[in-house]
Amino acid sequence: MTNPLLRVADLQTRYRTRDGVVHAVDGISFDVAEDEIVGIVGESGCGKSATALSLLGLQDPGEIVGGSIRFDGTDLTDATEREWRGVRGDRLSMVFQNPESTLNPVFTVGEQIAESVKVHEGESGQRLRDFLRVPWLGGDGWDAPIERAVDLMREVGIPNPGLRADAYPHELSGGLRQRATLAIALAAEPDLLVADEPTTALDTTTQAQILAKLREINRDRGTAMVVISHDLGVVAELCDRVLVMYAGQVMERGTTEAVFTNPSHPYTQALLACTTRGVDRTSDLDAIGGEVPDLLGGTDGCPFAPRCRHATDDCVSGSVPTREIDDGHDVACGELDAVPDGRSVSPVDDSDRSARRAVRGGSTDD
Amino acid sequence: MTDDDAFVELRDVSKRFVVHDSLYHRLFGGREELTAVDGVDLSLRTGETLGLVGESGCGKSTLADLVTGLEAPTSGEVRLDGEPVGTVEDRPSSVRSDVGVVFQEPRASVNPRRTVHQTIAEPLEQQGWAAERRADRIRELLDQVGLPERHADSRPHQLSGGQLQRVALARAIALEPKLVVLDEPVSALDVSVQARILDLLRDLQDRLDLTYLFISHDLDVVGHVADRVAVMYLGELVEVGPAEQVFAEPSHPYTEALLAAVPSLQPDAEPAAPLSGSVPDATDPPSGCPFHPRCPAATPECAEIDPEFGTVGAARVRCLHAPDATGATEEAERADERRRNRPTQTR
Amino acid sequence: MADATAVGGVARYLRERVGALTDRRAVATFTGRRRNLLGLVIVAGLGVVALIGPLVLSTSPTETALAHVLHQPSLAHPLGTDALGRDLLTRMVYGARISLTIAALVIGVRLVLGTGVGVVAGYAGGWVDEAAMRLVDVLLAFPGIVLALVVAGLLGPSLTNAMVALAVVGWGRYARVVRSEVISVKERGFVRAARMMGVSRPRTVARHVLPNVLGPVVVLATLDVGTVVLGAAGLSFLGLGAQPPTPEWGTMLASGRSHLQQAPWLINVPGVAIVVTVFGFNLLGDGLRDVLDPRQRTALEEVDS
Repeated sequence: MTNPLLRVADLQTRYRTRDGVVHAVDGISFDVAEDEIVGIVGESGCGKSATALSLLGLQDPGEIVGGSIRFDGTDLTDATEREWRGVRGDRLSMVFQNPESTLNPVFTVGEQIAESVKVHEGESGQRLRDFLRVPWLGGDGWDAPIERAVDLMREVGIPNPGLRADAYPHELSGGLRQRATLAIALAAEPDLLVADEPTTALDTTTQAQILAKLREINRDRGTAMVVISHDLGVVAELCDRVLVMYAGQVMERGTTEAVFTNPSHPYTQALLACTTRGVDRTSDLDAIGGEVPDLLGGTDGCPFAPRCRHATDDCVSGSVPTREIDDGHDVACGELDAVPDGRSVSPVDDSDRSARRAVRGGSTDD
Repeated sequence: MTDDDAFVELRDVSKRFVVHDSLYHRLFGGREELTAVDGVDLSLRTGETLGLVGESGCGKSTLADLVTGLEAPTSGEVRLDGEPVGTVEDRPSSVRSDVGVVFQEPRASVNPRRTVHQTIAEPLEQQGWAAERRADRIRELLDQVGLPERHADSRPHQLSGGQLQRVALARAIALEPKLVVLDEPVSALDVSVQARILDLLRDLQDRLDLTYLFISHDLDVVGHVADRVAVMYLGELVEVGPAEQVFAEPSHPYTEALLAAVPSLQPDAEPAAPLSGSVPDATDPPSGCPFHPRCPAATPECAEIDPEFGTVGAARVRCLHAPDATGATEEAERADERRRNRPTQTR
Repeated sequence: MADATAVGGVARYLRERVGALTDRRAVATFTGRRRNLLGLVIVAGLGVVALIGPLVLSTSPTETALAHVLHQPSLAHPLGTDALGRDLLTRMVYGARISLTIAALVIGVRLVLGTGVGVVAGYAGGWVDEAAMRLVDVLLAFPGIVLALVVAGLLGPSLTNAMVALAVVGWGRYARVVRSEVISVKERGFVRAARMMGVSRPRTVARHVLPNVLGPVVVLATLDVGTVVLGAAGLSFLGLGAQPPTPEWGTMLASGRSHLQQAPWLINVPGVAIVVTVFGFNLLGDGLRDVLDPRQRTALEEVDS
């Protein structure tokens, strides 16, 4: 990789609360190349959303206390709000889990998409009256952005975009609303799109539609993406490379192929073992015991050690070595030799989709 | 269909809601009917787990409410243990204690102001148990759902989502019900917690001989827990059958589409072509088969005929084009005849 | 809900809320903002003055002394005297007691009436809800003070009638807040589960519904004190409330008005007292909102996690 589009190095984001300082992001590093989709996967409270917010300078009230974020060669770590505004929504965009919180209920979807088109074009500055659509107060020049908005809506797969542009958010279904937020994010033709749980609030059928659309955008426009999800399936289906996060740290990182067929960190293995996929009802799921740590005051040693069945005394303190077990496949584990080989525990085998489905219901040994 | 073993039986059950039911709409019109559940025949055998799947808004939660008696059917009959039952208010307390329920959102399913002990004690109190007997039973229940006894005096905000779901489960099984209705019991939980709750559910079922109505939009989870699966679309059942068959060889195009939409863990798997469009407005359902506007296999007659159930293997399927579906083919022939008699057909 | 269990539920709720106030985190949230403390200090100060003041003072608020008419503030009369030679400080202290009593009674009635209507409307739904809410709409369509003027005018000028007028016109907001909370709470799992267990309606309301809707109501009530104090003073000022020689702040303003030129303190002192009272209760209410309002509370917890 010569020059990545985004380079995050040892990023640390902390939130000050009454109970203490929460180390939400605790020294994570990763690169995103142009055209690439990188997934961040982990359970709630692992710091994946804090990472996403930090990437866009939206971590407030948290604070980035260490590390750096370089976007296309520019250091954004200490960028001011004004500098951020030049990048955000222009070269960097974000899609949130909940379209309801992104869309303003009092404007039509078309207007909102057109607005972000206008902001992006924004050569003449952002005067308030340009944004008022009151005929005699100026605010002309809306026709082109609205047209562009309709194009964008067509592109993200909203049927009848011309009609739907005049619809208010509450008149659209959840899937269409998420598509509209995607259109808003794409209006600026960003180089990098950060999507935080883009499909979590949606039905699986709608999820499949949105995932297909994200893939298509990545392929046709070359938009790089950082996709955050708790759903291993979403990440496996969409991403080129994956980061598995736990307690604000990266446990395992590699190509999706490598991480899913050769999961080498005990946490990755445990997560995959928890999926109900292909497990018939007579056998126990291999659940992880214990609770997710609260990240107060940071962690010493490996954060997963208290729940890890391979943990030794060495794991609970000191620094955890990160080993590159394969080209670009890093695992942060001190006891790798004790952990079973990923290939033997992965629920993902070489069989294809239909064969897997047969396994799912096939065996009944009762 | 009658079934001697059936603990729950729904006979041609429908539930319609009136939307926009305000004074304004009464005076000026605009009142619309929404058919949430449409002519459902379904039975649950004692000791089995029936998985009910479908997209949001398909009526699966309303169906659960009809079984629990939180809603009264507009037409049709709900039977528990062979006896027709009404809403919870009409059910005698012996019938009421036969049914437990667990809801989706753990934070909303227990009263935030009451301790774990108070929450689990409520059904026991309601049946007039003395305080001492209640305390013993609560200790036993906490043990059964795997919560340490020290949590008895905790309040909900001190517990995690998974722990709260255990509390809700303890409350549901407090009176030794025969049936537990699980409405998306693990959807709000992280995968690792989800796995533990699913194991617990199975364990309890084995020990207490429970019948589960397990509602979920997550096919993976249903595939893991269910003996039989019922697939719902727009208020109607489209396929009902043994889990193995439905998951391995779905006969209804909708079931097939649902299964295909589940993201694969296989990194190099070719993603399935997603189902297009979205669920139609339930106040204005499509003609004929409700799935035909989105169905990849739809033919013109699908828009006219609302198919009857046919049998494919051990499953009941409601599709004109289901392979070997008896009944469905006859229906199609009849439709053909009708089409011939009506030469000009507008779509 | 005049059910005994309802009363018990409310009592338990209040005990728990007091318990919550001693909760370290809640206290920290509340005291974290200086203006909350200012509000608390003002309200506590007013309470102390109203409670103990009349016991400490030896002077009478109604005893006239024509030898000391319209004296400027001095050591003997720290706030001066009025046109009948009465000590203004004494009258202000007694006035505080009257104002706070009015506020407590009026808000008590508003709260009970509004919560009752709100719970019944929200829980019963259907035409009951429809009827109750249209009535509330009518109430809220008029500015409260105008409606109170009409009612007080019809009933005739007296302090009691002014209080009745204020209570009758002001419960609409409580009803509306309670109703919307009830509607959201009654769809929650624990209320549905209670129904399935066969818990009676009054018991469900007392145990599961009321405790979960009262937080916003307590906040609303605290914020409402200022409005009621102002409303009572307004009615009295217009001659529809307390009658002279009652040392009510509004009445005092009215009678001081004719001596505006010679004795501005007769207007300024009660005026400032009213402003400070309203200000104090509003600050306190805002502070309580941070602690008691469940929505604000979860918002805080989300940020923390």
